[in-house]
Order: sequence, then structure tokens, then C-alpha cells
Amino acid sequence: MTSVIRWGLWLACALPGLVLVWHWQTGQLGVVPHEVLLHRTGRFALLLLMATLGLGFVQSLLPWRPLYAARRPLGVWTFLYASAHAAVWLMLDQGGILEFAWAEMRKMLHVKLGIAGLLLMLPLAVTSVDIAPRLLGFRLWKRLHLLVWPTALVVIAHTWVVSRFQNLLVIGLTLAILFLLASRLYAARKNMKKAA
Amino acid sequence: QSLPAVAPGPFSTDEPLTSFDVATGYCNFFEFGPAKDDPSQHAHALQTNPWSIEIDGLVDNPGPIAMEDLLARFPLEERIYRLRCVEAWSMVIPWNGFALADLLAHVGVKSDARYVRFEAFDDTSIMPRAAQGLLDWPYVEALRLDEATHPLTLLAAGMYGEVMPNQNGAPIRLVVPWKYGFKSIKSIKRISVLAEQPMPTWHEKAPREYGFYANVNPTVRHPRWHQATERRLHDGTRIRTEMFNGYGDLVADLYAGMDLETHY
Repeated sequence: MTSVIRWGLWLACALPGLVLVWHWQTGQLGVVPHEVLLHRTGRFALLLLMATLGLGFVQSLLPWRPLYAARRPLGVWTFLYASAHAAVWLMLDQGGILEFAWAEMRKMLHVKLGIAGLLLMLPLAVTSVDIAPRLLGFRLWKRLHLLVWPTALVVIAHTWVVSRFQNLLVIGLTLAILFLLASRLYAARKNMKKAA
Repeated sequence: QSLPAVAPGPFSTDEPLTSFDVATGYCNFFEFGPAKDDPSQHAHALQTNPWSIEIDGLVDNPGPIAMEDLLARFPLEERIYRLRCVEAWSMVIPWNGFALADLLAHVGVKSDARYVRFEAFDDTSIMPRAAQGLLDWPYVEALRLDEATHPLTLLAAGMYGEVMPNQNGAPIRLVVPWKYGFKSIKSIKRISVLAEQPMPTWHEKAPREYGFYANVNPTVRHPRWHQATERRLHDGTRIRTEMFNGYGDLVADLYAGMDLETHY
């Protein structure tokens, strides 16, 4: 059951990316494909991050083992889409010109936030391999993965800065992140009380 | 729909043109929605025939001018201009138009006039997606009188030798190539010559982001992105942005002595 969920999710997460590449290569992304690539990869990463966090919440209510297996593909694919988003920005939006990209990184809040989000995710992606929890010790590994919360806050701030109009989706995602964070903090407090 | 043969005019760049498909498929025309492909999908609802421009304010001959009369009186020229959007993308477009100065001379501008205000069409029945309160309609833009009468400033009724496509501002629009694209108002219904500085739509909505002058200036950043470079949409390259969009030789004098950090 666990491996079915894991591999099924890998394929399901890969699918929108494959469709996007196929549309790109066959000229179906409109007259300015680079911009569509940039927006879609960013949106996929954001939605998968939300799914990862949301799954954690569901798990806290329903501790069913296969659910645990579903988190890793969602997290890894969040990172992959975020990396693709950054690569599209660097190579296509900035034309691969490092001088221009560096000027944007120095001056622009949304770029700083985006890079911060990616860097925060990097240790999570690196330690997503099977042996990582054993190598680090499960407690440390678990603590390290609390980085997903600052990541989520930085990423949603990035989304606010790049949205010209604060649409319902952005407002809804922000409220959802705040709710999930609050519920996580509440659960942690309860556990601490129990332990004490 | 092709225009009759259009003679080449002055000030044209010899840079490669943006393709017609890109120039007509990637537009900001918020009356038809905020996405870049909204105008090409929805602007067909715009009825451009008959069309007339109401001219009022400090002019000797106020009143409406019909589109046919404008085209009969002012022969169209081809002007190949760079277009730099405030969103840091750019195109090179062959406009077919005539100098706004010729129209203003024709209607006679009174001596106390200082500004020209432009108002776009406003028909909520064909702009359902714009009723979301994105902006206040009708869209308004304005120029100082000396900017409006500058020989670069164009009223365009076509592009690429074609009658102006609806999504690009049919039947007639402004083109001010040294300013960010939002100054070049589309589908003009009213031109008013005034003594006081009018309030343009974007300037009113977000004065920190969209100045009254909105001259292309690589050294003054937009609050959310910087303006030093731009994406050329026809080849996807990123290039450096030029002061006054490369038209400094022709227009810098208009702003002599002004602090362009303040008057952005």
C-alpha cells in the first residue's frame, strides 16, 4: 500500500511538469512562453508546498501509515518545481546573464524572498533520502524538517510581492498557512505539556 | 484588414520588429481583463464603427470629430518605435498614425492651455471582466502640452499596415515612445485641453508605482522591480534599458532642470 501511494504520487506530481514541457516544446504556451513557464512552475511549487503542509495536518488527525509515505514525494516535488522556477527565471527571464540576475538579487525583495525559500528547502531536499533520518538521528532530522514552516512563510511573502492584485487564491493560501502553523504550534504545546 | 499604402515617416528605428502575433497576443488592456491574453480573446466585442472623438476644453473649435474625417484630413505615416512597458518588457512596433500635434493645431489650442487629457471608451456592457474593480473607468491618461505636441507623439490608427486591432486600442490610440506603455492610452473617445494637471488612472491608483510623467528611466526603479533592463519579447533576450527609451536626443530638453527622481 505504502509503495503504491509513494510511486503513484511521484507520477502524479511529475505529470503537470511533463505536460508543461510538452506544451512548451510544441508551442502551446502562447506568444511569450517563458512567462507562462515561470508562472506555472512557481504555482506548482506553491500548491505542492500547501499539499505537503495540509497532509501533515490530516496526518495529525488520522495517523495512518501510508499517509506518512505520501509526504516525501510531495515535498521533493515542491523542491523540484521551485528549482525549475528559479532556473526558468535565471536562464529565460534574465536571459542567463549573471550580471542582470545579480542586480535583481541585490535590489528586488521578491527575488530575495524566492532565493531564501529555495535555500531553506535545500537541506530538506538533501535529507529526504532513506538513510538521512538514521544518519542524523531521527530527532535531529525531525527538527531540521521544521524548516518547512519558515519556508512556507517566506514563499507566501514572495507570492504577495509578485501578485499585482491580491486575489482570493493568495489570500486563501495565506490564511491556510497561518491556520496550519497555528494548529502545529498548538499541537506542539500540548505535547510539551504532556511530556512535562 | 489592410490599410491603404502608408508612407514611411521620420524617427523610425531599424531594429528587428516584434512579430504581429506577439504584438497582438500579449497586451495590457484592462477593460477586457488583467491577463495578457484577455484582450485578444475579449476585445472583439468593441464596436469601432461609427467612432468619433470628442474634443473639448481650451480649444478654438470644440466638438466631435468622426474617425473618417480624421483619416481623410491626416494622412497616416509609418513610425517604427520601441515600446517599453513599465513591467520591464519591450517590443518594436511599426505604428501607422499621424502626429497628435497636427490634430491639436487643427482644433486650435488656446494660450492658457498646459495639459492634454485623454479618455478611453467606457462601456461596462462589453467589459464584464473589468467590472471587478481593478481600476476606475474610463481609463484616463494625460500629457503636458509640450509633450503632446512633440513630433514623436503619435495618434495611431493602425499597425503593421493593418487597421488597428481591437486589442491594441482600435480605432485610434496614443503612442508616446519615450514613456512607459501605460501612457499610450487605447481606444480614445475624448481629448480635453486643460490648464490644470489632470489625474491619470494608474497615477491615482498607485502614485508611488506610476508617476505622472512615467518617462522610461533605467535609474528610477519601480517599487517592486527595477527598470535597468528589459525583456525583448520577440527573441526573449534581456537588454539594458535606455534613458527615455533611447529617444533622449529628441526629448531630454523637455525635462531640463527637473529632478527625474521626484518627477518619475
